[in-house]
Amino acid sequence: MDEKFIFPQRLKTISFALMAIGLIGTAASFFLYSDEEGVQRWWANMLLNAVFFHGISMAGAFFLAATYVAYNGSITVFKRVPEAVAGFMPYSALLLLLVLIFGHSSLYEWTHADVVESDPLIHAKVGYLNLPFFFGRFAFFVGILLLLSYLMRKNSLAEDQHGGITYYKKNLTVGSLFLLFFAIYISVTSWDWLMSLDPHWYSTMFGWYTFASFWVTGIAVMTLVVVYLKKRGYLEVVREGHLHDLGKLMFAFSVFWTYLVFCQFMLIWYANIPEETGYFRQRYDHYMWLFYTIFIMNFIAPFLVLMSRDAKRKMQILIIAACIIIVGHFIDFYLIVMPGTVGNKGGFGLPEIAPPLFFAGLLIFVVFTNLTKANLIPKNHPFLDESLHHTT
Amino acid sequence: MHAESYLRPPLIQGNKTYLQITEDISRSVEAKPSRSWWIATTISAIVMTWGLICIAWTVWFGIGTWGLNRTIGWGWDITNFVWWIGIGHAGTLISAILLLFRQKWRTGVNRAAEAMTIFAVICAALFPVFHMGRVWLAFYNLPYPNTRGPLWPNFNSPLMWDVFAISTYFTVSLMFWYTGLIPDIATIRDRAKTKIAKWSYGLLSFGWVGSAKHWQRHEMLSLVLAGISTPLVLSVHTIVSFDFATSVIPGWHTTIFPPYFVAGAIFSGFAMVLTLMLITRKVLNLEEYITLDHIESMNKIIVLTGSIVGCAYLTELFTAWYSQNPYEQYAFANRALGPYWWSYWGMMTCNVISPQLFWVRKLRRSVWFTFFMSIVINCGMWFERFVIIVTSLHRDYVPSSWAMYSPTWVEISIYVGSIGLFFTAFLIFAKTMPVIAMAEIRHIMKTSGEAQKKAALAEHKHHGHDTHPLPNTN
Repeated sequence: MDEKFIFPQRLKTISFALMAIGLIGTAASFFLYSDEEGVQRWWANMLLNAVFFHGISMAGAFFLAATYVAYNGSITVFKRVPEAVAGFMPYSALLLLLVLIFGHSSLYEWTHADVVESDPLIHAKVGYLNLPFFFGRFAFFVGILLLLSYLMRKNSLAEDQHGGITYYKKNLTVGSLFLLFFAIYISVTSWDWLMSLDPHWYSTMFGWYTFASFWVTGIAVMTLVVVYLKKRGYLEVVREGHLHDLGKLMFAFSVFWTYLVFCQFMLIWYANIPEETGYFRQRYDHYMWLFYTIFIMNFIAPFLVLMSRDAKRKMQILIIAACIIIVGHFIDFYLIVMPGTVGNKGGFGLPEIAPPLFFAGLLIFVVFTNLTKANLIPKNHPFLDESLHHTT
Repeated sequence: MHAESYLRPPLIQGNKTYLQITEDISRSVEAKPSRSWWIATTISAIVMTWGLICIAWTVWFGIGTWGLNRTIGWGWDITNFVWWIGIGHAGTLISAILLLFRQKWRTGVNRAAEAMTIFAVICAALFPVFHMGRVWLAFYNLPYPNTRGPLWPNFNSPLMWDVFAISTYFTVSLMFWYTGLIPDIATIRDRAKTKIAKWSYGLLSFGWVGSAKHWQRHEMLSLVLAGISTPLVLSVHTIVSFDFATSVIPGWHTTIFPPYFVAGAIFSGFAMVLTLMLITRKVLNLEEYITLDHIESMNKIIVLTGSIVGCAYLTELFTAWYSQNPYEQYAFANRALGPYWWSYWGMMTCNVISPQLFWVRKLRRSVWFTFFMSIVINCGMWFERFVIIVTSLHRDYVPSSWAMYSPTWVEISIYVGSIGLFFTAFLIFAKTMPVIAMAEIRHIMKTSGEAQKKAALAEHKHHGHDTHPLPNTN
């Protein structure tokens, strides 16, 4: 079961190229669009990407914690993959923190003293929407989750070395704590980072809805990594049954996302209260085709593509479905961020194209570097044998 | 080849053979009803009859016999309706969703939970039906080509969607439950001694002979039904939550309602499964099939769903403040501090704080504590519906319409009567049908029986792995 992953030179070059092109493009767009609207648009894109990729890395850690706590016996063989994705957390958190520190005044209306003075609604929310508390919440929740995810990885590596079920049990505890804090983290940070872009608007569903979006994107990214490794001849012990499980998860949580999105939209549409409908009115009037695109890409496409059993077991189809899901959910976040920052002027050009390239390049580089750091198949895990024999 | 981790505890204790499984489970059906069964059934039937009398009273004298008024049009009736529907969620969740998640422990409890689902949905249906007042016109709900001219049910109303959602759910749950029962009924038929038992179980078993073809079709049908039930479980309580959330009433109109109602329903459903199963396993000596590990797994689901519900309560509370909508803020302040404060704090204590005790392994594995908690949660979830319905309604937009509500003896009796109906039905079921799915237990014996588990562990040690004792299962 010894399997060492070596970062293929070609992939490494691709990741560097992506980062370089992305960085140059991002920097160029900063200077090319230097009027006030352009700066806002630039920061909006930075926030969009930082949050989106941060969510992917969180989904990796969540995947690990949830499967530990649920005594999952099928994913153990490829559990280095969620570990590697979770290893992107420190980088994504740092980038997000930088974006929030330097970009907050371009992004969040409520950080402007004059707006707070003249807007009674925002004024009343100052107890929550103020910068020290905002960054305090960031530090507290992201800090705790970083620590817990670091511990999960540490125990997992120690298990490889020393065996026994001590480390497994430790991870059970760490995993449960992770889930507990994650539930509060995802609620609070989705209000902070995304919902407060439209500071008048509120929806109780919002945190769960962004969770669904992050989660299904994370699963799609992990599926792509597993499939890539398999295509390169690694992880031969991952068989159709395991792929089937990943396919089922993508299918199920695409439906789950749709369920939450539909419920949130339908309830607001049905009650027709102006304070609430404004959010969708703006998105529907000015971004109508994206409004329908996310529904097609995140629901209809994965639903039809992944419907049959055979489809979920074929790598080629999983790649297609995962790519649709990742792009679709990126657009989903675009639709959350842009109308809240640049209003009706959300565009598509260099500022939109370059940053995702940089973030994707960095994600690829960090994830695959993490994969080289430990044996690709965990040793001594009490569910390893079960996972190796897993069939569906 | 299939392998199972040595960490997984055995789900069938006591080195059983296939024959012993059959005998242990069919014993309760074949033996003469015990005295305690007669006593319990008689009491339940009396309570049920009293409830039926009060339903007749309502029909005869009208809804005026209830404590409802112009401000509070929904009181105990809809509270009880939502409470029962919620309880009816566990059965199908266990059979469909836990099946998809490959949770083998479901085999110990799925049969009884599915039966419970069906009885709970029947109890639930009583309340909206009799709340109609002129119950003989209940069929107006059905959209059939009618002679009433343009008068059709209002398809825009979530109450109408409820009619479809619940009747579909009931039908599919019933089919799922009965399909699972067929092989077990055939077993009882083959073992039956008396002519009448042979004949009646023979009739109910649809001529099952256990041929390969029968099993193949049975498995196929179960799979299809599981596929249909999975979205159904989620849809039923989602649509029940729409009854409230589509309105513009503060405290009702909030977008988190659908998923949070579903989580709450599973929470209360599992509590009721535990209430019933803890008694059943004791009375019918089924401790070897419903082990402490089964109980612990269910308690974990309770702590999970309880925490989800708690997260939703706090989100609602926060958003009420954050919205800076004075009506919304008042609705929540009034819940916690208004005249019905006791129901709010009852709900918070029972649903959010107390389930957190299940983080402690010792408590998760304590039968008495679990039983106590299952009752606490059932009360808490009843409070929750009362809080949502009555507390949100009793302060109307116009202060001159403010009102209070308290139930009359008729409403209380109908509620208690519905509990009587539920237990009567369950007791009759437990006496006439195998409460544990025999066929499914036999199916997992090779992987999860105690003897097989021990052998696997010995094998594991033999291969020079470090030695771990079998996890403690008492």
